[in-house]
Amino acid sequence: MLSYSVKRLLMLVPVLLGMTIIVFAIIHAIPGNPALTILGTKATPEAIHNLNQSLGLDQPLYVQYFTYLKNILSGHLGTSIQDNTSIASEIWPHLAATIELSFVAMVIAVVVGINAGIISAWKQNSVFDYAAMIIALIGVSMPIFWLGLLEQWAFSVKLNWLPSIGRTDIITTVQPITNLYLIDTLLEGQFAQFWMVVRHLILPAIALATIPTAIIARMTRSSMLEVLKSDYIRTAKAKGEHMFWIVYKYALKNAFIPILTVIGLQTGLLLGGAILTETIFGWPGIGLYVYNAIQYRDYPVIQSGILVISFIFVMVNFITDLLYGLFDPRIKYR
Amino acid sequence: MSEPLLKVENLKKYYPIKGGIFGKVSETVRAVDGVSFTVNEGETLGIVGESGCGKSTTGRMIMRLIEPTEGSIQFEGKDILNISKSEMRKVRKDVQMIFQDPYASLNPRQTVGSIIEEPMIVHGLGDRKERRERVEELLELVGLSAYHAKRYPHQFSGGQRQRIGIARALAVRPKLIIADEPVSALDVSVQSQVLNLLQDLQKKFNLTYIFIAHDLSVVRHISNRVGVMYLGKIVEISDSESLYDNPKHPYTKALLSAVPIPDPDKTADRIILSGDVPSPAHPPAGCAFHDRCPVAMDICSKEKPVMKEMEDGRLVSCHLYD
Amino acid sequence: MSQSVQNGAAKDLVKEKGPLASALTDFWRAFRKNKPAIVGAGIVLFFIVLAVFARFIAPQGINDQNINIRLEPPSAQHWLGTDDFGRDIFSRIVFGAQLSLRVGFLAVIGSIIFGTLLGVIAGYFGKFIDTVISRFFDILLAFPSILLSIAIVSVLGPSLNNALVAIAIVNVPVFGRLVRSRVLTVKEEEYIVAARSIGMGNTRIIFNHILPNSFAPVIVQGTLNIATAILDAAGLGFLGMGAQPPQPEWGTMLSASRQYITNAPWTVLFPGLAIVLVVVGFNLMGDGLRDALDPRMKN
Repeated sequence: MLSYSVKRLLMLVPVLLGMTIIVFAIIHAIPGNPALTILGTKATPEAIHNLNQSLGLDQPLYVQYFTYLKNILSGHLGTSIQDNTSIASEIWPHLAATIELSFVAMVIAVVVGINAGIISAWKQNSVFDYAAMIIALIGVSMPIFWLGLLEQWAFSVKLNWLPSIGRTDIITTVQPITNLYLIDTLLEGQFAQFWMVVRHLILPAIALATIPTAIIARMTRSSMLEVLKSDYIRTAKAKGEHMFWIVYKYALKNAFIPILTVIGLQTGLLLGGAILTETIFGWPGIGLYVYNAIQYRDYPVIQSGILVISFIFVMVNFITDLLYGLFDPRIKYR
Repeated sequence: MSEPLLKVENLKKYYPIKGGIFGKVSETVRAVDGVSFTVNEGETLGIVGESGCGKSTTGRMIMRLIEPTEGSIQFEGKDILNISKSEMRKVRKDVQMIFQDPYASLNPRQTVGSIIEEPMIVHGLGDRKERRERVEELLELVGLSAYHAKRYPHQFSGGQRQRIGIARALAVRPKLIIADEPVSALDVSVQSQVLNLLQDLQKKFNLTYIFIAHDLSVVRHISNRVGVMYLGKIVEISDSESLYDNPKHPYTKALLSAVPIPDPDKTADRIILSGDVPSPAHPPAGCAFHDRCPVAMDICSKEKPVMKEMEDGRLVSCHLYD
Repeated sequence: MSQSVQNGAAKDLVKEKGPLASALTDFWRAFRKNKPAIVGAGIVLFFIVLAVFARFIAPQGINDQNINIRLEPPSAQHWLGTDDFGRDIFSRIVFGAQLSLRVGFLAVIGSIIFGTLLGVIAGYFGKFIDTVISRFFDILLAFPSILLSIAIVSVLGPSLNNALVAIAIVNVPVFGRLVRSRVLTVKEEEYIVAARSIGMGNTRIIFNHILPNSFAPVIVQGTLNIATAILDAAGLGFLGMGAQPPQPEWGTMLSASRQYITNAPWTVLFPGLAIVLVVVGFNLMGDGLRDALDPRMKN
């Protein structure tokens, strides 16, 4: 197991290096003079010269790349062109906001998706099954930004139940400790604030959870259907075990590997989907950070944002891979 | 005697097995380990052995579908392992192959006509119209009908598909056909039909066959000479009549005793071989057959026997005849 | 020999019908049984008709503005209401079908062409070139797809065509891996060995034998990918990185209308519904194609 993990980890190295090359290439692939593109046509030659120098664009390409790589490895993610702040210090609060949102969305997706899939398989061809699968189909076919807009319209504008923008009220500031506000408010003992944070989370989390919920539900259903047909399930039925236990104890355990794969993949995609959700809900996460950077052509921020999200994506899939072994004793790690 | 059509000498194919992190060669599988034989024009050489003995590998090396590790293959006096690409193309036209599995060896997305036509296109034979005519001619020749050209392989039975495979092999008028277990995937009732067809075609076009089989009874009627292979080596090779009537090598005897005899009054002394075929990665020392041989002697586990010519021209590799 | 008997049997198998027709009939039979797939195909066809005949179907032009009828609710005159420039939303959605389908089809065709090319090279020739191409795929797939598209558009500049290019690039490894694994399987089939024994060259083997036998899963994946390509194009349009106003791309329309959602929800509702519907159509069709093509067409 350990040697497999190490081997798998080593295989990540070329992928991660390749990622840095692509991200590095973003700024160099801009047609024409990148500095001119960034600063706009009214830029003075001096400003362009200064920007070229601060971005290191006047150096040979390979020197630039190795400098870039060295900086990343030592935790320097560059400087924002827009406001001259260090990206590394700016990125964590944003990242924390995204992680909090994604985590809640994933919990919703796993709980709702797995249970809907299980019940659909258990009661195959029932009304519930059909309804769940039609909803799931629409779920995977839905632009999440549209769903987000509709949610805001229904629950904030029309019904006025939930807030539609941001992580907190404008008047409240949560004392950041971990920057995960759910935890921070509890650590501070601010239960009213905690509730407010929860209320802000609900709409964006549901929007973000839609696609993974639908995919997990479909996957769970099909892999459960396969398992429910197997002999040992029939044996368990013959022994008179209650169907509830058969489904949740025996069947789910064996249907879980493909479900786990999907969960891993979806967690990564969630981070990508966050950019759309965060834009709509004004959620100050890394997606919104990148989106704003795009508006200002703040390429260092775009680069680092994409790099950080993709890095997490790769790591999530790596961890999912390792988790297989915990659920499937048949998989032997060599 | 004139020059043989095909002369194979000391042909070897070793597969390295790589292990460990650094891909070191940890052992070698000797799939074919020094095979020599000749095939004369117009004759049929049967090659028989259990699965995994290297008979198919030998056939595929002659087609150069697999590159030999060592040895030489001479076709019409030319060493085909050391010739230019364009010369090899000519050889490819003269040597064709019929495959074991008629379900797998025909492209499911091609019509029968295009399957048979393709070798002619590849070798630039004839124009479109001539090729079409030849396809129809070939279909009739193998016992199908011209209108079958427009159908797909899945619309035919196993026996019919094998006929299509035969027509494809004949398309470029080859001299030598290597038939790799051409009937072993077919129903017994169809097997003899295909065998008869092969014999008819041989007479008609003066074809030379190398007929590979795992079963001595199948080769019996079609072969002039038969070679028996065990663990990558030929243990006995002789004209089929004397081989069947009076087998010399203990392994040939064992194989022959396994062939069912159609006469219920005759009782055969079955020689049941003990144990399994050893792994070609770890062949036994000395004679590869000694650990299963009913008449093994001391010398058999120590020295490799060499091929010896018997008084009647047969070749046997066994210490019994030292 | 009983050839005549065998020929007779073969004749029964197919009643004098062309081979291609018979293969298509089989496929059609499997597809037709799948009701959701037919519904999906119907939806897709509906949108294709909208796109092709947009000029005749749409009551107004793409950009016919009329300030006097800004943000009017759906009525007999304007079936789906009007937007903030007084443009007929129904007409814009009809013309938008052209853009969305174009992006969907072209992006997927682009990814199929390049993905297949790379996948075949990797799978057929193996060794070093396989390692290089496969690593390249790994790296591209290591990015969440929408992020990679954003990165590409941020380089090329925001426009519908650049969004199309970005989506095509992002999906290349999806098809590349699929084709590579198919090629690895097909390569070992005996009819490929047979082709080589005839003396056939690599190019002919690849184009005549390997590709035709690798394509069924590509068609299935392609149909499903049109769905995601349309979604991604709408997403990029919404973020301002795809089609630019006044182009009637559905995502761009949503982005322009979102500020009016309180007073004129129809401006947001209908473009979104159009996206959902067309994507549902391609998804249903793709699932149906998979069911009809995957269990080996015939033996």
